[in-house]
Amino acid sequence: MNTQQQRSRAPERAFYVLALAAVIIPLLVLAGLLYGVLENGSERLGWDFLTSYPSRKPTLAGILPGLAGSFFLMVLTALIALPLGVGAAIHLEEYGKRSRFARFIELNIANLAGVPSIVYGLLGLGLFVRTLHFGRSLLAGACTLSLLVLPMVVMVSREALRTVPQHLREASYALGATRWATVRQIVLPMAYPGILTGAILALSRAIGETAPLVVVGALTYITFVPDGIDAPFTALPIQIFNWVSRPQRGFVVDAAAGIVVLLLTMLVLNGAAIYLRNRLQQKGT
Amino acid sequence: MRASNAISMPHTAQRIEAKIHGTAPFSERAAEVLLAACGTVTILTTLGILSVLAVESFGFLREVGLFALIFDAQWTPLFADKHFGIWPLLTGTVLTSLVAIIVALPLGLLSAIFMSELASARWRKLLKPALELLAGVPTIVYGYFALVVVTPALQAIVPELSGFNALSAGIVMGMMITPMIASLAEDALYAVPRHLREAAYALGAGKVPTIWRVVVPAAFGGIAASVILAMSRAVGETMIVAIAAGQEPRLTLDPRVPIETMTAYIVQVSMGDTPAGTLEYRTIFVVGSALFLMTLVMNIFSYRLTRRVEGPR
Amino acid sequence: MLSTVINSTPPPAPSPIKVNVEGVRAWFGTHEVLHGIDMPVADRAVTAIIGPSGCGKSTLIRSLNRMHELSDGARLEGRITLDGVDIYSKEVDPVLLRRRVGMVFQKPNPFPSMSVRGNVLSGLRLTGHSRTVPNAKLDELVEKALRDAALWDEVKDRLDAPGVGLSGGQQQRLCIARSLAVSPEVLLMDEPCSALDPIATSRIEDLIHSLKETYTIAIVTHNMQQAARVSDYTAFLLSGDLVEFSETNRLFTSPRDSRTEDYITGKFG
Repeated sequence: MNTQQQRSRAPERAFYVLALAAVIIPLLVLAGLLYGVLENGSERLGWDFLTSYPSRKPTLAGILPGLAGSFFLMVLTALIALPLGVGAAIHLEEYGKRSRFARFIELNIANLAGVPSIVYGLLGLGLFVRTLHFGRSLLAGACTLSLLVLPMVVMVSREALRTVPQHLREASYALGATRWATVRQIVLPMAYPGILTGAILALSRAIGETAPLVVVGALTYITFVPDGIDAPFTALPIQIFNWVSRPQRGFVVDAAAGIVVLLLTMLVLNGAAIYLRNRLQQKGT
Repeated sequence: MRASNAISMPHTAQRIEAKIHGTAPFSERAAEVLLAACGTVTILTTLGILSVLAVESFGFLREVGLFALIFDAQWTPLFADKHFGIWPLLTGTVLTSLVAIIVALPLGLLSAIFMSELASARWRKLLKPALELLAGVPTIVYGYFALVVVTPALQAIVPELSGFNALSAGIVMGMMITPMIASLAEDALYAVPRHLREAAYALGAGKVPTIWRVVVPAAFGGIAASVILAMSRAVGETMIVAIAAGQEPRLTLDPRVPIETMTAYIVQVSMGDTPAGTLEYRTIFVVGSALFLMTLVMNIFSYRLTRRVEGPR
Repeated sequence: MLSTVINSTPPPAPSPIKVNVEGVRAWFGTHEVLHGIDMPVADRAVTAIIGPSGCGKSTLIRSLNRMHELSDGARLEGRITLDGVDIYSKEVDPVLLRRRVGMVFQKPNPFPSMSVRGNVLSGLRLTGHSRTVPNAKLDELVEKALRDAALWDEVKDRLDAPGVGLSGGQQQRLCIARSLAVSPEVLLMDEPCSALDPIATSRIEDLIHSLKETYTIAIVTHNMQQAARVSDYTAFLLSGDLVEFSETNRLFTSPRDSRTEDYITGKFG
């Protein structure tokens, strides 16, 4: 074969374009989706949308109970899932490295991460709503969501704990410190920014979860803000779901507006997580 | 110099005969137990899921029997004439998931190839987090999209596409799981050792044939694992299909008609007034069990595939 | 074989003996890294452990404060006594042991989130002792530890600056001060100068000279000249065996074993 021959570069370039298109198409679709949602929902977005209750008339409907419900859900979920998740992560990283018990926990976590979210809803329904008699309450919803995000909290907390160099732990042991003292005074303060960031990211995932809450009994038409952890509740995505399911055109607009609020909330949470991580990491050094 | 030691801590004098005998203080033990307890919660969660599903499913099976579940072709537990064959729901789930994979596999694999083999570092740094964004959008948003945008758009192209159908839901699900395939397949491609590629180049092969004939086959295990994992995700997906695919259990492979998936059925019953302890209530746990088993098997299979790739090294 | 012959005639026993290693064997998993070591560590003197890399010197010194067992698959047999008490017996709490036997590591590792002062006091805080000591006393302690570590003059005006902001040699002296602040009796040093420049090294060697009046010191070093400068007794390890142990002067001027001679004359290493 003559090495002076030029190989046709056209197929290679065509493939490059094809592959690039494969990456770009979903992104374009996403952009289109976001634009469409914004366009649709903008006519309804406004202060009264955020402060009104659902209504039979689409132009009067608001998302206040959903916002309140999601807010309380997130606070409760954080209070339950964070200590459990960080505790489990500390156990796995600092205490259990070689034990079969720890391997078993890891296996469970890996498995739980792949369980469909609606199955967590069934767990919540059977265990929290019925067996433990929490009823269809905020508490049941929060417990269910906590179990759902627990694997993620454990995983990100472990990552954060791993960033602490081993030789610092060794220095602490060599001074005669116990393991818990080392964790509490050396490891946790250093891992704290990563843990916090991970926690906020886990919560921002949880805020968009709909299926488990539907099964646990979040109401879709609710005209009050929850007044206690045993109160019935709703959440942002539930409200959106309800509006999307209605045939009237006006409710589609409400749904779009609700989606904008949801996405903005997630954006704020993610931004806060990143901002906090940067600030705390700078302070640490 | 010896005297200087006397300034140090008040209890040094005791320290010289100090014990090195002793057991850990209470706080240390307590901490250890508490932390282990936190870890135990995950085990309890698994046990909880298994027992909730099992208890209600057994209640159902005792009344209806496994035979009816498997050998009936209709699913009408909420109607007067009750049938409990699970196949319509199963086919609904499989149909939407298949559509999703048909969309996601080429997009995901090509994206993975682009980022691993073709893209410059600049592009990769930009595109990889962008793709992650896709995975971060709540599924309810995708559901809205499928019903409100995709279905009307497709109705112009596809003849007789009904308002609720498996096609729109499947396509949108495909978009959602594309980042999963892209990310995992990229890891698998990246892990293929350089010397394999270099062997192909040294033989005079161009980039594209090398990719398809050397790199992709070498990464096959990891790619297959990513596809199965993505399928498992599609099978378990709820909101997109609940909103856009319909609530009519139907034994069909036609993606243009309304169907009902296993997950959508559970939502449907949950939204209604089914009292606890009734047969209808139990059906959602039976369906949930089937769902759980399906995803479990797929996840294990996918895990095995990744292990086999990394194993003999 | 030669080593067992040499070892069976008891080495010139330093007296008194603070730590005694008796028949110690150590493993990482199935790999045996120490094959039966008998070695005394003299009270208030410096014992150096030298040998080529991989001979087990780090494992040996880490077994003296029970840090060896923190590694994966680590195992140990034999007796190591501190003032006559076997530190591996079941009643001994390794955590308490490590407050009497301190360690300085090869790479200086001050705690990054703490100031100089915080680092010095960290040992007390970690072991829960600082609660019972009034603040004024703590300041005294900080000053004493830093003086003992020959660092006071350089940091006295920046006690609140971050510990990691010091130079390498200063950081290592800070780590020494940190260890001294818990008043150990024995100080183990695992190649403390190998990450430092010659000037910092010589300052630490001077420091070791003054410390040995108060503390028992065992130092692992790959630098023979350092061992010759700094120690009173030297142990030569080769592939997990103690080849020779004697007074430093003796070992370096008239070693009894040919392998020792080959090592110190640089024929291998």
